[in-house]
Amino acid sequence: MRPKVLLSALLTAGALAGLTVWVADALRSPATPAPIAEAEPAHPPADVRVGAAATSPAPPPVKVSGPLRKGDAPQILDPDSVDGILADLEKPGREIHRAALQRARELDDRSIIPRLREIAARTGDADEKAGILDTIDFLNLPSIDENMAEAQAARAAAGLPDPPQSPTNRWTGRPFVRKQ
Amino acid sequence: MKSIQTSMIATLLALGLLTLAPARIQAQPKALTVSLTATYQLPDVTSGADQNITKSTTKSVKFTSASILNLMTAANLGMTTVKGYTLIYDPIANAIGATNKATGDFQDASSIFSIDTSGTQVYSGSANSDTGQQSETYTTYVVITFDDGNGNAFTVDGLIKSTQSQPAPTAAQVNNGVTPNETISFSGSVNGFGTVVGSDGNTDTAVFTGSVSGGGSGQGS
Repeated sequence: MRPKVLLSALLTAGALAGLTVWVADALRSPATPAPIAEAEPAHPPADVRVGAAATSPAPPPVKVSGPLRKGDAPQILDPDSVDGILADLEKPGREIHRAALQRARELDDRSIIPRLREIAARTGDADEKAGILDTIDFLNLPSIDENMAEAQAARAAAGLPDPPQSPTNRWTGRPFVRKQ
Repeated sequence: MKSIQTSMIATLLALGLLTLAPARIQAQPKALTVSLTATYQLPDVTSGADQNITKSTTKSVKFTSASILNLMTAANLGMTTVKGYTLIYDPIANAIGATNKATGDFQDASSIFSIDTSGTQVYSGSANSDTGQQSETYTTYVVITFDDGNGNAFTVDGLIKSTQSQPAPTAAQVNNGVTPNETISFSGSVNGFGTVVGSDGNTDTAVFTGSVSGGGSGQGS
């Protein structure tokens, strides 16, 4: 009989202790972040942050890096916007500049070109200048979909049909999955 | 007897706590950034009194993630509009496609786009098998292929540098049975060849050069 009593007492005590810890933890953080945020690394490595900023599809505005000091107002910029890219190019650090130029290529907004030219003219670093000028050249290129649109318009004007589509992927041999 | 009882209690409590753990968190793929320049040959132009001078020129066009989405749509290989869609690659699940954040729609692009990361790989860093904490840098030979079925296709390869990290779980995560997310980012330069449709409608062979980058965060496999 005694072991059963002891077991019951210990189980009850254990459950109460667990409940207490859980309640205390919940009360300590009433605005517990969503599980997805909780599981994010608190301090990802610098490269990861640069990579994420460079590739996020529609990132929320983020605080510009750097610890806030007393009296500082948090500056908020979308790193994928023209302003965000230009702000990063004004900061020190080759990696930051490289990532910003990569984002400029992806953003593919030619309105950034005049500002890039200004920055290229100011920089004394020959490699960085070359990188900026390469980016400007890239932005000035026509895109392949522009080529396709021109070709299609020319065919339409000439009354020619669109060429037949390939049924299979030339590299994998797998059939395409078309929507119509 | 007492130790058996204690073990039983500990097991029961652990089982109880595990039922409170949130569901496993899914991977969060990030945008796949593609910036490629394709250069193709334009027809030679001859001049001179007896057509003795031949002038050869090339033309370049760019392939970006947005271009690829447009090509997918034009070839009826996915969504009907590119508005709101982003090209994504999940390196953890090795999935590629286009997703619309607003609607949650996902269009699989694996029949036209592939990233083969099974090539030779070297890595450095550290991993703690007790805590799961890891931080490693990989250099991997990667082959990327694309074909829209309309004449635009490329295969490019190169060395991609990636970082993979996972922090040690916090006390709260341990208590909730949550494994911290694994975060991967990658970028690198690639080169290769393929074909492009010129503005004249002809399909021309082309050389490709450029870069790709991306990443993701989620539960490792």
